[in-house]
Amino acid sequence: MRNNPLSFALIFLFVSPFILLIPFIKNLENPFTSDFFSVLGLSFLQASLSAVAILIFGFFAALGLVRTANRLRKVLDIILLWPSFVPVLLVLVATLNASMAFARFPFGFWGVVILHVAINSGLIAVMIARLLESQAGAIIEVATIEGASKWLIIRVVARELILEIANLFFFLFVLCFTSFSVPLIVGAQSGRTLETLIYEKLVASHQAGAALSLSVIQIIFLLVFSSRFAAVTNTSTNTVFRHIRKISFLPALFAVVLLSLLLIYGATHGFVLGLNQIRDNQNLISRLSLGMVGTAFESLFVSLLTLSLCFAECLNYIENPDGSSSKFFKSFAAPSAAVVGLALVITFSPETWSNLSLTLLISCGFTLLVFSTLYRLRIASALSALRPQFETARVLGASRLMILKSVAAPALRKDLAFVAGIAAFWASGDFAFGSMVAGRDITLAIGAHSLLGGYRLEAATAVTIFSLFVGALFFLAFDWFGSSPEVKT
Amino acid sequence: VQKHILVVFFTLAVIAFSVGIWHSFKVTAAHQGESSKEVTLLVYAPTSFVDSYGPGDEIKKLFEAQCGCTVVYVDVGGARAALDRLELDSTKHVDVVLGLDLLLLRGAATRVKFQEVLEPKYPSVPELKDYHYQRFTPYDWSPMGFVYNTKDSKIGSRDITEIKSWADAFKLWPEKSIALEDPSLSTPGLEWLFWLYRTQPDIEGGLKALAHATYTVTPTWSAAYGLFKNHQVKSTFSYLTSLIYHWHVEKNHDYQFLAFDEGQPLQIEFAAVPDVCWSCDIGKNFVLFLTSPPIQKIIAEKNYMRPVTANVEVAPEFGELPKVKLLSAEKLDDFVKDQSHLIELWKHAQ
Repeated sequence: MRNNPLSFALIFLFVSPFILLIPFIKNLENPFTSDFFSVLGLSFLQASLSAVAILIFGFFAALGLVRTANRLRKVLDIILLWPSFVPVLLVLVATLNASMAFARFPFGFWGVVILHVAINSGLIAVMIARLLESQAGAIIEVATIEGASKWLIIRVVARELILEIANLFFFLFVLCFTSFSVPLIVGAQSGRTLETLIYEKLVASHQAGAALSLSVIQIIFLLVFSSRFAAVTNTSTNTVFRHIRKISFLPALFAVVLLSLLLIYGATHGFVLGLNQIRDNQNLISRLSLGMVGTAFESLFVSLLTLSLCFAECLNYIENPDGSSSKFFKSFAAPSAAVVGLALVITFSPETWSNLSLTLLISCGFTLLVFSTLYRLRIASALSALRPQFETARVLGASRLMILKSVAAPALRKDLAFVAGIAAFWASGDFAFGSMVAGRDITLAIGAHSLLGGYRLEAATAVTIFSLFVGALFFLAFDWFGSSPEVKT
Repeated sequence: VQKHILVVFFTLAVIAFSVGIWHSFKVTAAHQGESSKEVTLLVYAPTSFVDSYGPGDEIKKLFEAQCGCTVVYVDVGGARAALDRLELDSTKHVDVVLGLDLLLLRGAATRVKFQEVLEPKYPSVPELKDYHYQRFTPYDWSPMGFVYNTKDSKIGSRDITEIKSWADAFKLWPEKSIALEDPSLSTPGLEWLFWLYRTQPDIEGGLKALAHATYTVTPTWSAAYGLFKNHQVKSTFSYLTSLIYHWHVEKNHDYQFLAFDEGQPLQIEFAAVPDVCWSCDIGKNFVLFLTSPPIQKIIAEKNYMRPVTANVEVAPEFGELPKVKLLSAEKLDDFVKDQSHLIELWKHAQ
């Protein structure tokens, strides 16, 4: 099957930050400096360790989750998921606040790994629990009847789900390898990553050419690495198996839930003092009201852009499921936020733009940064599961648009709503990218970032909570949309 | 019910979106209208200058009232980022760059062309007599060093206040007890590196001893100060004038400064007019305006830095700051030349 122009247009869009920057680069400096290989090695080790630790925590917590009853499960899902979907800024502040009450946070390499585990374990627990319920139920049923022990069943189940676990590993590896804010703030020297090296090249050494080359190397490295893991399988079933509780294991679940609760404590610490600081500053209050509108717009734009890209990629997938863009998104890691930000600032010079235009520009850039992660998180496997239906519809002579409208959109409604909601949530908390492009406080998260630059950390915490509130509203709205009962099949 | 909530939500979203678009067009049109009558002065400024507590807004209002122009601040994060942008795109229109640190000036002058500015009309404070340049005008300054909290100053049986020099510090500081800024990413980081370079004959030994006492190195001053405020470390490298914030705003005198016998480094922030300016004369006037006594008072009390102009009346807490010995500009040029090598030495000492 051939690739269509839309497919190439999508790929072009995602590599465009590099193309935009090239005319401004006076010389492409050698990126292989003395610290390149050590930082690459550290990044690899950090991402691998983080991914393995998250998988272990997530797997055992999932074994606890499958035991819980429906209503409790919903509450636990929310408690476990929140650290993955709230802005990194908030988790960082929360972790530092929480660690202040109990112990000193270990900065450096291990600090990065611990924070990645704290942020992602809950998400992976929920994902593995769903995998266990949808794909391992039958094995557990048979093994239980045969009288196998709990740990033998767990071993067999882990072996059965190895491909899905490998995919999750790759998802986590890319997430931790390309993570920027976490290693920048808690990494110090021993926790440097390729992403922070790119930032150093831009900010400290003034070597934009080297930064650009490093960013390209990072993407190529991840593309090559991902070719081992890019396969996506999804043969889920909705059958509920009675014996799934046989493999339940609660201690890890308690640990991960406790971690999430600790982060909630940390996130709200200092909130009241922060409110008092805000109340005393009229200038800040008026900026916050503007920031609230800016955050709402950014969340809305990013979710709409994400949905548009999902639909575009869906059209490509219907035409050619093994096409270039499909393979591209399964393994593409977005370029460094610093590189995309610089490309937009240099190309568009948006300093004097109106707030709305700036918000739109930031939304476009931010969508480029998060889309591939969201695609791998939910859309890739959902599309894969629909492949037979698309092929049948194609054989019956349906057009791409008709398949999109009548088959894909209703079937993917829940997944699309989920990724749009998450995109909005992440956008509401974006501070690193937004502040680089905007140059003024146009959203709450950027305002919080500015406050963090001064003495008033508590006010920053309070503003971050407000931004979280706006993001949560969007997430819930999309969640309602996705779970409304009018899904046609 | 869910359907109704959805309908209401999306109706509200569409209304908000439409109002936003309309408002944006209105603002843009007004802005264009203003621009046709007035000149825009584009100022690259550090975050602390333009945030909601900073002096930026008040200065903007006062300057606009007299210049017949519109001041637009762009928070580029810091002077390094400002220089990067100007160097990458030499056609960019920027009228004033604020926040250029003393230690960045040589690099700034070689990377970006700046125009000559007029000598300030007001007499300068005596501490800054060695720091006057044709293209860079200082607008605030502060000695730097280690800040501590008297409620958390015990080091075993001894006290942090016993530290009077680097030698005492290397001996008394417990392992992992201070937070420092990364010298490759932040200007306060460069300041402590210069301090060590300027005062220690064995810089490698000094860096190793300091690494032993360092809990973590952060990319920004604010991250290091946040750790200190959250009691994660006993001390951090900061401004002498940081005390003003705690004394004046929080009414908390627990925060104090360690004065070293060797003297303290000083951060001076400069303003400059790049060659790519469009409103160059207004830019130069803005730079001079920053040194006028009323504006110096605003900067001192909102940016928590000392005024560069003599005899400016500021909050009484400024007078209560401890008197510290200042390092002279000697070896400054050597340091700037050796900077990359020193940063490498520091990385190896970690």
